[in-house]
Amino acid sequence: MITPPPVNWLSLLPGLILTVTGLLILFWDLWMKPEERRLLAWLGFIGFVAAGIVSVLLWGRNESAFNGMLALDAYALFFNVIFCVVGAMTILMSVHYLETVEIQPGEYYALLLFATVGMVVMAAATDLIVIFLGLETMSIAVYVLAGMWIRRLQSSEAALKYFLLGAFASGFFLYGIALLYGATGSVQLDKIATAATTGGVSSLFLVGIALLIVGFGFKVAAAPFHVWTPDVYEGAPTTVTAFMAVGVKAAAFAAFARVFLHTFGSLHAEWEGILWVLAVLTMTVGNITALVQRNIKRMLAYSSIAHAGYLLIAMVAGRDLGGAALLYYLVAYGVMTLGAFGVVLAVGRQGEPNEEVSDYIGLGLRYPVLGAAMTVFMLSLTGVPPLVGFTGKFYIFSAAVQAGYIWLAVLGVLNSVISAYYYIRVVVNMYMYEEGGKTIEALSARPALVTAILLAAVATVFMGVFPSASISLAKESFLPPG
Amino acid sequence: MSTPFLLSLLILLPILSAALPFSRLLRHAVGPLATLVPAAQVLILFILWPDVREGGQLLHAWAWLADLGLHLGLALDGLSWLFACLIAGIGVLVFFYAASYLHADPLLPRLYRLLLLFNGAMMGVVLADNLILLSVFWELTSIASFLLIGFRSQRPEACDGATKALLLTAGGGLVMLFAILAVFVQHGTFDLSTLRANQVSLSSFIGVCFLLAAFSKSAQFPFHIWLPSAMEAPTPVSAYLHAATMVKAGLYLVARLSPLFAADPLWPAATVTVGGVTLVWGGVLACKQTDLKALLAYSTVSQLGLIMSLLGLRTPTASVAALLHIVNHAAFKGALFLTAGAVEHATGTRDLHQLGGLRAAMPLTAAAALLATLSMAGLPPSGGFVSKELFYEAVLETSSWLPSVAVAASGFTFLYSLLFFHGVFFAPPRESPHAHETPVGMLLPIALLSGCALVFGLAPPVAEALIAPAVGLLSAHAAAAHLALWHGLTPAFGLSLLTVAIGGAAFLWRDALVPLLRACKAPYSFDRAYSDGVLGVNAFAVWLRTRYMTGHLTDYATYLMTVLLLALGLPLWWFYRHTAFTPDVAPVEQYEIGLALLMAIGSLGCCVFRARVPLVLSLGLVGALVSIFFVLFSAPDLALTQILVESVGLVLFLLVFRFLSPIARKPISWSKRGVQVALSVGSGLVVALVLLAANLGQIHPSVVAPFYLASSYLLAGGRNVVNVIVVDFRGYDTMGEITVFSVAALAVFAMIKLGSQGNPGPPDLSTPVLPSVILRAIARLTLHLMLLFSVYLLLRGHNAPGGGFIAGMLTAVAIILQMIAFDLRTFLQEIPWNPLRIVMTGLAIAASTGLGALCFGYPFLTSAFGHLHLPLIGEVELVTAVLFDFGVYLVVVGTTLGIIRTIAED
Amino acid sequence: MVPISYHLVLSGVLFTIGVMGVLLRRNTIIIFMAIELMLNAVNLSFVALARHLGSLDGQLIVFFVMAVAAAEAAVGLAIILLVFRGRETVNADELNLLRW
Repeated sequence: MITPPPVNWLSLLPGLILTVTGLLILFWDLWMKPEERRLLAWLGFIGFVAAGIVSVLLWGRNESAFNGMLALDAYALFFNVIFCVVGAMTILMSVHYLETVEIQPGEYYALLLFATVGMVVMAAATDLIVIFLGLETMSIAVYVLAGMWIRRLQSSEAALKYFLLGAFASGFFLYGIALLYGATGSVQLDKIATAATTGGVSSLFLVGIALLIVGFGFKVAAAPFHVWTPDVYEGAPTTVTAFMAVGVKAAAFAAFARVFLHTFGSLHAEWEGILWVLAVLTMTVGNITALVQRNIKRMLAYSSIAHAGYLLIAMVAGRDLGGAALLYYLVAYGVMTLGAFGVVLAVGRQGEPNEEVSDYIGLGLRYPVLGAAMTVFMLSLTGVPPLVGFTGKFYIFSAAVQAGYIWLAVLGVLNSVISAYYYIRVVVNMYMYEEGGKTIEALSARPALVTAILLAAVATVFMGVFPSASISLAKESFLPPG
Repeated sequence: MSTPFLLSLLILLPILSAALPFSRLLRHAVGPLATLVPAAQVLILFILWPDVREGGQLLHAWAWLADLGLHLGLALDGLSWLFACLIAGIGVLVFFYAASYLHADPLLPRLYRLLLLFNGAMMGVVLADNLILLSVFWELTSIASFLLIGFRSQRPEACDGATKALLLTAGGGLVMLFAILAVFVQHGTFDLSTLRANQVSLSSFIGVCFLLAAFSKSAQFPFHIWLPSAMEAPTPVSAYLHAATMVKAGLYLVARLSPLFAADPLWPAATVTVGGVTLVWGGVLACKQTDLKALLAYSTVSQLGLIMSLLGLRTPTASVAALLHIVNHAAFKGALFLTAGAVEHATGTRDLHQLGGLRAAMPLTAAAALLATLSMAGLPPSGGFVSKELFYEAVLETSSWLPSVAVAASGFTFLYSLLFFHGVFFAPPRESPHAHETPVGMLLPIALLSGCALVFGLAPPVAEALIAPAVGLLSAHAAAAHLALWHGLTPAFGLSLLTVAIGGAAFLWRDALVPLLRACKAPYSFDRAYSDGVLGVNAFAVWLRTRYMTGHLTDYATYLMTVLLLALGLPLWWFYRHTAFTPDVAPVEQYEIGLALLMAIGSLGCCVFRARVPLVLSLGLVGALVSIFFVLFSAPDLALTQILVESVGLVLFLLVFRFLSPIARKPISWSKRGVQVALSVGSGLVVALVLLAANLGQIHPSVVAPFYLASSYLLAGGRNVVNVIVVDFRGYDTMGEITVFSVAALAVFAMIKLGSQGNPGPPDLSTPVLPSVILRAIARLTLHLMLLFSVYLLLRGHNAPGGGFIAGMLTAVAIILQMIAFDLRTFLQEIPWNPLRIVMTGLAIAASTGLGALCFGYPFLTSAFGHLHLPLIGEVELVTAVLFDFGVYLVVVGTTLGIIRTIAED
Repeated sequence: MVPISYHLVLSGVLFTIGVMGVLLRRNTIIIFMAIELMLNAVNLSFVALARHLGSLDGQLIVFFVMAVAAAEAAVGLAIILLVFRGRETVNADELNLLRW
């Protein structure tokens, strides 16, 4: 008798915790009084923290589960921690915000948790179909989250655009899976890798890879598949924008890098060209268009596109160093972007989002803490030392140079300089002009938000000044190329 | 205190002080307090002098990104020390001056903050040993300069000048970073000290990159255009950044790197040539100016060119001359800028046309300015004379075109020096009623700097002491050169006399000469090229934004397809050019051709029809045909599911259509349409190309399938292989699937809530859809039949086609039929439960089934055995899988109900 | 047995027609229907490949795709309704509050 495949429960645990928390929130929401709704945030927060802690405790395992469909390895756990931190930070930023924009907390937090479940699945999946399932779980939840700001017509428009273009891109992704299935006879990553190394590659295989790039490129917002990003980021509730900019992007890169750097590692020569072009295009389009933006959410959207470009450089560089640089930069990018969105939230008021760059005039002079935090984030996004944005970029560009992609590194640096213009403009606005600014709601009324901003600021500075611990963690977590 | 600490203090002290709360607590003491910082730097440099005097070097590195070769390495040697002294020394005077110059300005704290920031960054540039660190500080000085030039941010000229300076200098810094990366690739280190110790010799290409950075920073032709625009900065800033220190960073870089390019012929040639051209061109332009600061700015350009060409000569005399002139220039140009500031402060203008005869009102200032002007013009007994003599000596050592250029340029220098001094203090007096002597706070720095200019000439050993530690680093034999005011009747002295003659003559004929110069205008200047370039980029960005990010969904989808087609089509075309194309030409069954044609027609219908019913029907046709293909491929489960999913989908589409108003037709431009059609056809071709030639030969048959086939009945007691696999072996996948589905359910409910929130009006539910009584009776009957059948499917699912998903879909179809048959209110009354609760219950059941199996010691979601024989239905396996199926069933039904409710509420 | 290529071509054609629908239509509901068409095409190729490869994985995958497609349909319709409530239109050309 054949024994059924062994089930590795531990590998499911972080995801299960998140799912159960999500369900609990839904059940509780059905029966709780409206004025108790704030407690839902803390339940969700606890869920994220618990899942994160479990992921940390599981550290050091390297197992495969469910017939090789999910992996419990350092790579997956590393991303689990990222997702949980992003989720927890998003909740901290949402507590007060949901009340000002009148969003139902029950569904909101549950969807946040379920989206994270999808992300966890994506990072751990070692099977293309499981990646697809994770992707869809995440996406469906986020489509709806983007449309939850009912008082704002842009919000539902954002949801619709995101949904239709996302479904369109999913179609290509799925078609790519079908072609790979046809070319290799399997959808499992290790079998595909074996087929790639032993059997050579057919044109079917290559087209499949190209279609996967479309699917992933859409989710990471790489040009020219990025067009949805500014519209959706601008229209969505700001907390959701932050969650998308960091969480969704990290999850997409998690699966992207696992498939391309690991499974297709031996085919590096086949796809590096496409990704090279995508990286350059993404950085350039993102930065050039960000130059002329006046809405800060939209500017940060273009900035997030540009950062996807830097991350693609790490993908192109490949090997151990490129992979570690990718992971490290994702953390760096996540921390500073979350922080920046936190400040955007703090500047907004009920019925008055204050999202124009000109709304930041004099902010630094009147609100020193907020101004200092925003300065840290903007400088870090530019890549000014000793902040984490600099170490991250330096790491990526070194990886590119060491892998022989000098021009790519040069273009990356050039782009960072272009980006300085629009990031520093915010800082200049905050400190250079006195008059014309707006008054914002007292920060002391929103302790959770302030905590999130300060945490992000401290992490931005700390990881930049003492980068060695986080870098060695990133190195440890990255899988050797297949 | 340890020397590493002192070294880091030189940089950290100003940067940290910049963060002090000047604007609040220390508002009134900001000037003196800030001045303390450069004063402390001077003290530190004095303490460190013994360490560098004899050609020694202090070196310390803190580890940072050690594995990537990035250390925070600082080094202090003679060259760094000289520049650091300039930064700190001039810093003290300028900081002191600024307090009086802007004494009532509320922005004074910000000025000091930025000046301190710049001071720290500039110190970083000259102290950095690690090239990355150097480039970072280099860019930081550009940023500080940007902010200082744009200090009067309400003036558009200030913003333009600031941007121009930033673009050119930071751009140069970028090129330098590229050079640094290239150095790292070739030599594996970022550390200057290591490079020097290994006596590497860098390639010309890297040299050119470094030189571009140096030229842009030091305003060399043709990058000089930023410096005059930078004069929008407050005058102390011009004196400090744009005369004494920052513009010398390029000179520092050239001096610092020269030894690494010892064998490179291009380096000196490029330096001398560009320096020489800048020297003359700057001089010519300076003579044309009427604005005091513009005159001084072009003069700076010219003087920097002089020093640059001296550095390029690399002879001992030239090296000494270069270093000496750096010091001299800092002193006299600093003094003259501050004078210009004082004049503007006193009269309110800097225009030479409106100035004149100020010697009476401002005698002390005039005296100080005289000394500085002597130095600039290169007349004895000033320091400028000494360095000019050395300059002539150095160019005379070369037997090329340089001496004549030097004399010509010096003639211009002489001319503009006189124009400046004469124009301000001697020319016929103009109306300037408020003109008054410069206040002490401003006069003192001017006097001190002018005094320096004099002392460097009268007592050359003072200057020698400053530059001596640096000279040895530039050229090995330079230690022998001794400075003196009077060298005797040398050829150099002859050239000096010639210069005075030419310059004096030009000054006498100035009324003819200067207007002539002004009349000469180039048809197209570098300045124009710059502004055209900037405008072009901006226009491009705006164009990109408005043309490209249109906000239209369809456009976005079009981009996606275009890129995809290009990315796929081009490689394929390339591939097939070289590969024989042999499609597989086996016979096809006729009915299959028919099916395929129908399918194509149906799907084309989806793209073409405008009326709703044919549209939906053609979609349904495609769905049905797909399910026929599934049957042909012996996948009955799939076919059944497909049919049900399709029907639910179709009905939902119809309902949604019913509730939405029709879309007004709008003409779409034919070009757009043409692109889209072309894209569609192109994608068809590419897909066909790929698939026809797909090399399916190398296939790795699944190892999983035989395993499942062999073990499915044994283990799980089921014969419907697919379903057994779905539920048992790949139950977790199914779990994933229902997670997707329940997330969707949740999403739908969120939307429902949102909808009712946004639109609280009561829905109009009174119209029945199907008025016929008979039809209603039939519908009622079918409801029960279909529900029964779905239960059958649910229970049988384990062995025969069926299962929770399919049963759920069937139930959904039944419910929707009811909805069509009856009016909506009745329908909503028939289903009393909250759909959300149905979904939640289903989820809970499915999840607990998995957990239940685990409790019995089985892996997650495997069946607990047990057969139950029911009449009519047959063998039912009372396995947990059935329960699981039930959970799925509830989720599907609940979700469908939810959607219907949403639609109904509209 | 019909060679696999033809079924793949059929699915390719279907997929392309779906893409065409997305590009050509303006009504977001129809755009969405065209996307469903694309997914149907992929399903067809999965099943054809499963048959060709003698592996069941392809058939299983189709199950998941169907479920995902159904879920997407549910959410999609809900979103479209939401947009319609706010804007009284679902024309893709009129939905450009967000741009540039």
